[in-house]
Amino acid sequence: MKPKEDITTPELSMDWFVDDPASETERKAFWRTVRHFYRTGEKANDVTGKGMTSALAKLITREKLAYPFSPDGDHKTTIDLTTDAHMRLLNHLLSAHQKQNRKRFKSQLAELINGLKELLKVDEVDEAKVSGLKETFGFAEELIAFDKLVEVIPEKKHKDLTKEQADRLQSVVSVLVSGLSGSTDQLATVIVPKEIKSKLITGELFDELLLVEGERDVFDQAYGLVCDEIHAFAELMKSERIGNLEISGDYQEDIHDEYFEHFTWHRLLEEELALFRPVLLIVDHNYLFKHLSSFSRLLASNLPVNVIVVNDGHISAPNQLVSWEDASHQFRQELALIVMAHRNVYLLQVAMNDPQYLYNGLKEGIQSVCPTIYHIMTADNPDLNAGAHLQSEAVVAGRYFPAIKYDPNKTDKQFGKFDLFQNIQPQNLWPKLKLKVKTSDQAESEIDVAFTYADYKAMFGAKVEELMVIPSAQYSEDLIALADYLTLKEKHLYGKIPFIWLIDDRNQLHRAAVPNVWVVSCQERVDFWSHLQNIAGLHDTSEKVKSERMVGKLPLLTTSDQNTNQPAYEKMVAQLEKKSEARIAKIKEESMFKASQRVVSALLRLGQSSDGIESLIRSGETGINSSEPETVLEQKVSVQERQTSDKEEKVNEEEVPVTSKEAWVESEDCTSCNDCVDKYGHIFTYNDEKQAFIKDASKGSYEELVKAAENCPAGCIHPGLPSNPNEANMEALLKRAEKFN
Amino acid sequence: MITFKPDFCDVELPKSQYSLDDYSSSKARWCSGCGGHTILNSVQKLCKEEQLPPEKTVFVSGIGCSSRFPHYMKTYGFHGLHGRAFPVASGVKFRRPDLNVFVITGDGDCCSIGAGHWVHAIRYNMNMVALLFDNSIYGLTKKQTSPTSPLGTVSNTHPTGSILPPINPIQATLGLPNVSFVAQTVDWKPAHLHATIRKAYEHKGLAFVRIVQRCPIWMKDSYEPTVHDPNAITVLNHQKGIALNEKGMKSFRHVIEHDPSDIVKAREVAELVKETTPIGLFYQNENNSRYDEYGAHNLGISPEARITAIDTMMNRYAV
Repeated sequence: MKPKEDITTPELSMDWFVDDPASETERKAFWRTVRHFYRTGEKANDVTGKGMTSALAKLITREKLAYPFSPDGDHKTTIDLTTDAHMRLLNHLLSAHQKQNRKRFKSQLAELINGLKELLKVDEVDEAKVSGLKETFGFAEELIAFDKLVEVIPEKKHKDLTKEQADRLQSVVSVLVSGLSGSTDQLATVIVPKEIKSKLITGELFDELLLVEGERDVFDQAYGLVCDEIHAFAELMKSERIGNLEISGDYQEDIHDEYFEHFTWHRLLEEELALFRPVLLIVDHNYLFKHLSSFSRLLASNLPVNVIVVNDGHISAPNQLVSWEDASHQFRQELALIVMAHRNVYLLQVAMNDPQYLYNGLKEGIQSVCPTIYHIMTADNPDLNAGAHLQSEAVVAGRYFPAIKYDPNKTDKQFGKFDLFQNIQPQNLWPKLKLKVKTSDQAESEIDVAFTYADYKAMFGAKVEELMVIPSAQYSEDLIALADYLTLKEKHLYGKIPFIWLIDDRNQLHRAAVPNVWVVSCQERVDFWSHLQNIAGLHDTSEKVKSERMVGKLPLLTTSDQNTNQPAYEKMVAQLEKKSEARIAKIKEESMFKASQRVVSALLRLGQSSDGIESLIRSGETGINSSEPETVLEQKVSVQERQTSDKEEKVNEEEVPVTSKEAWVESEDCTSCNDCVDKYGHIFTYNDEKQAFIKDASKGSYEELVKAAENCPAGCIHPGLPSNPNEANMEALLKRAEKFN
Repeated sequence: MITFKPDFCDVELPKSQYSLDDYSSSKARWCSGCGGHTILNSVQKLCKEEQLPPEKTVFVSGIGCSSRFPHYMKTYGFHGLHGRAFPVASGVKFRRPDLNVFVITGDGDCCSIGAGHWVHAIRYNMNMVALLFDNSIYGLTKKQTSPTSPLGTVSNTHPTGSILPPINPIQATLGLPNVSFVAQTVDWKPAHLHATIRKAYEHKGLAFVRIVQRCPIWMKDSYEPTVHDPNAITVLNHQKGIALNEKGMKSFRHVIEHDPSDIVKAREVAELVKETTPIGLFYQNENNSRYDEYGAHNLGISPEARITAIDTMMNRYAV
């Protein structure tokens, strides 16, 4: 799949004819009305954006439409983008995949039961044989041990079963048989609150599933149901494990009896849990926020339950009165963050713009062993001028409903758990686009624009009327793009009016002023987006974070794809790791080069300067910051000795052995006697093994370092060279330090 | 068919359950630079490595600087009477052979007031580790001559220098019947110290370890040359002895071969104390009788059964 940031702008050209500026008096009067509009939203009827739409919306569509969508790529089933497209995708996924799963599960159980019965049968035959022998040779009962005789009769015989083993096998078989006969044909259980069922599920859907109408609180109901089902399932899986161990002859009573006595569902492996019949809850976001506490309880239980939260809160949702973004400036509750606060939950927040992504995400979530939340923004809107697909693209691009995937089990690296790469240009606050315009003198030019939440909002006919179109004759420097307006500091905002680009039905561009209410809602959206970028590490440019993020950037491969395309997948991961390693190596090499440059220049300065030893000391300040002792690259260093008797500089080159410039401790040899850490705690501290190291040599004087070295019974403190050459008695100190370096 | 991961039945506890902090109690109040800190750290490390449950571990001490040791361990401990570390520890081990018992004693506590108990503890040979913190001075009471102070030590009790030769705790122990483990180490060689304490812990019987310990306050002059002179130490090396890695061995200049199963040779080597500081395992014999084993034979018998046994015994004499 093509990453979204590579989106190609369609070759659209729009007309932008600008009239001559109006007279100064006219402009003054007009701008008074604009400022009034900015504060209050009140304006004359002839300047509304009625009949227009967002100009930028046309730029964000991808070349190839994703619909009609064929989930398995074979065009047997195709899904169009309608109001309930997400439900039909889900229905298809559950029917196609769960069917296979159930079938496999049942055949597995049946096979195991047969195997176990075979074992039991062999045992029964042996019993029968003993009694048979007794009948025949009963007269010699005192002479013959019949049970021993059975063993030496050459017969095809599996092995002996002790009484405990036979009992265990019997109970295992009975659990497995009842599990097999008790399992229904329904592929999954779907619970929908009664009061919103008709709204959420229309048409003939989920006929192969067990559709339950939730009575009071569906989250509590689901909790109870999943608890019961998973305990029964764990019992079944326990029996299956015992059965398999028995068949392979690996069951050891001293280990396994105790283990299986305390067997709960938490011990189930991922592949075992994958066979658990999924339980799905379908609710809408209003219902969810009314029952938030029970929802949270369900997530915290860590049970493998799937919750589908349908969000139809588009801007033009019929219930305008409670719309979050009206003048009250409320903050929208972010379900994604609430869910992520539970940390163990797989989260998928998507709009309907990319069905493949949604489908793969659903598949991944259902196979996942943790609680799973799908927050889906539905498509289609009768009020929308643009098509439903375009609206789904715009809802994501405008950062109104960012696409988020958070998979806590994907990797142990923090930033690899996030996937924000489904959003256009995830590293930017708003997607940056280029607007091609034809001006009145037929010249073509390009304008840099940003697609903001206001542009998305302007796609709705009812909303665009709230804007005030500015006639080109009234253009002024105070009119600035909304995206720029949002980044301005408060003191620069005075007098400025933000605008967005609209286009009318004659392909003519207009600038429309945006009221303050819109600005506030844009700010709220961009704040949330910025928060997402932070927690996903998108603002952090360090190589470590970058390489962690690469995991999130991997093309969408579901678990099953990973299994089938394992070599390809591994190859890709290896390539990425190699790439990241190479980058880190390059950075290291560069910093090494810089460091050695610094050392060389320090040495060169030394050769030229007059104050030999002091400049050698000072060069330590420009050296590399390393925890390891850094020895000078050259084996020997030439040092000029200062001759102060007559002011002539007399060069006397002398070879001195190399010493570490920085103070250091051979922590391995430290006796932990507390001497250095008690007396010079500002310099020394202990590591986890309670052995000393230098936390900050600059916090103390060189004299303290030398004293510490002298007192150390293990002789493992090396004071190095002083960082401050102006300390008193330096010559004497250097002499004392000599034997410890 | 489901495939099982090979470790799906692995119900063992995590490998590292206790950390160093789990054995550390309050901050040790010995003077800065005291060898006691080193020994404390080494013992805590051993506990961590062996994952000794703190509730199954007991440190018993007498009186003296060293005997503050149990306060610094987050295990059970008994800071007892002067010279009585051995009998208290023996009592604990006798009735609770399941506990890991360590005896912490000093040169005064062991070789002076507790000498009688020392002798019998060696003879009892119960499965414990005895660490003798020998700094050759009474430090807690501010410098009096101890039984191990070198001849001529100037102290408050002998202002002109001590006049009697010191006890050699190694030689003394080797002269006792049923002795099973005698080793010596120094506190300023942490690797050797740790290896010795470990060897002592692994020994079945009473492991007696004399640790030559620095006292930076009262005996600084006496120890300084030994600590800083690389020739002052002689290592007793043998495959049955204290195992040190190559790097550890390299830090010593004088190494002699000594077989720790030969007690006669061990007594000869113990005399080296007069010329150098020998460190390593002098003697080890795990076949000696252990009094704790004898004591354990009637553990777990109910009071009723005891009464019945006594009654049976008494009935023999009934007229």
